[in-house]
Amino acid sequence: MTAVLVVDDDADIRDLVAFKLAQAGYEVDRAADGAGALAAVARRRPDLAILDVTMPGMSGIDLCRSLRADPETASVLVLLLTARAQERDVEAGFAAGADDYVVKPFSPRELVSRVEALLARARR
Amino acid sequence: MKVPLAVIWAAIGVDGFLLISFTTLVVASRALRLKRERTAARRLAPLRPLLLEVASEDDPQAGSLRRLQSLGPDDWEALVPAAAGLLGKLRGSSKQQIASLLDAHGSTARAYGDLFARRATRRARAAEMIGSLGHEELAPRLLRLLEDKRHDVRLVAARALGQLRSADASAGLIAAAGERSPIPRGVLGHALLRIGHRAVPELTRALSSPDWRRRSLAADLLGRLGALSAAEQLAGLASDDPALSVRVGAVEALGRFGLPEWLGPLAGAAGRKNPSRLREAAVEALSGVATPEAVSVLGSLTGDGDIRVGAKAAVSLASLGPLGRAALERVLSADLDDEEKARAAAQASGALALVAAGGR
Repeated sequence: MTAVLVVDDDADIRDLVAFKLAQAGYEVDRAADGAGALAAVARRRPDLAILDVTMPGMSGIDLCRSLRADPETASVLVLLLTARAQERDVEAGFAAGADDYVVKPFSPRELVSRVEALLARARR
Repeated sequence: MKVPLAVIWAAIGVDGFLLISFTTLVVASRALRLKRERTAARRLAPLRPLLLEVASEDDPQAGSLRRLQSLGPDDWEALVPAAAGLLGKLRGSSKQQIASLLDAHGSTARAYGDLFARRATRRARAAEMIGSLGHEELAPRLLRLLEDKRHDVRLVAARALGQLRSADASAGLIAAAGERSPIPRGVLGHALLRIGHRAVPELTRALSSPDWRRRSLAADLLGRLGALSAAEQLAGLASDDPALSVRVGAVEALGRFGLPEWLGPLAGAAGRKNPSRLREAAVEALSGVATPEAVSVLGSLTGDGDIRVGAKAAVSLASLGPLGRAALERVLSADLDDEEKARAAAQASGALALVAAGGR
């Protein structure tokens, strides 16, 4: 079964995304911050991680860099979920190694489609 | 004068009574708040999954929606903060469903009234909800909150106006950027960027404002929005505005456009008589234009007496790929027969070393 890690400090968004992904048939782990995410990754390596960019402490972009820097997690697909839509923020996300970018406000249905598309591309 | 002992004891007694009363009041109000929070959390726990189901667009029979529609006032009040929080972060049918719940329970109508509530938290929550709902017709009411006596309410109102994406809001947000602005420029700028191209006409008008703060904000945002229609006005400001920050903002905007027709004002802004801050911005902007003419201007600046300008010109050239690197090689191979050429060679060498190290 495909495992997805959802990292967001906003409990409502984290639980909503996790709920939607679970409904779509994914196994979902959750974390509220960067440290929790790294601990979750150590317990179970996800196939894909959805990271909120703006979090207290380690940002989603820092977390993405950290995943990419570790050979064990370098191939985890990363989708950034953020309210920051400026061109430079998008560039910073891709420069850190993100595979895709969804801007808040977002549609949960569209988010799941983007997850499915990313995973399908990776399988090819 | 000797104070009778009885008076001293009476004063101690009154003070003690007041202290105990005050402590009891504080403890009681905290206990009450805690109890209220626990009750709300207890009410929320079974309802939150229903809200998430509605928000996730995975409620095919609309069973969860109907249950939430039929909640009593106390249960609904416990759910409002979560519903309002999700509202601003979602779009499409998720958002519509939550908005319909807020309407059905009268929360939207209450928020309209709460914009004038005595308590600041209610004013702020109301502004946030109206912003998330995107009710453009309420822009004039939110604009009034930009002058609210409470700083946090002003900030929420500015952000809410950005969420409305209403052209009507843009003039008010720009006006709030004037002298003794009660709202940080970054917050106003972010709100105007959210309004996006609908704000361009007001921002363009603001380039002629007598207040340099408004001109500066407008120049910066027009650049970020890629408003090419304002390019000619921005070129004029880059050359002539009396305020340095306006000139810098205009130069940065032209750099973002990256159009070769504005090379002249940018090269002028990089001129040696200008302040360093403007010249550095112009060098950065010239690298955005990136034509052979821009490269030539940057090459001529590598030996600049202002080391920061020279370094920035060299690093900008290095970032421009083969065209810029060829210009740096030419600078390196020139005869070092004066101080300027020696400085240029040192800067070029440093920038090329940076490229070799994978720094750019």
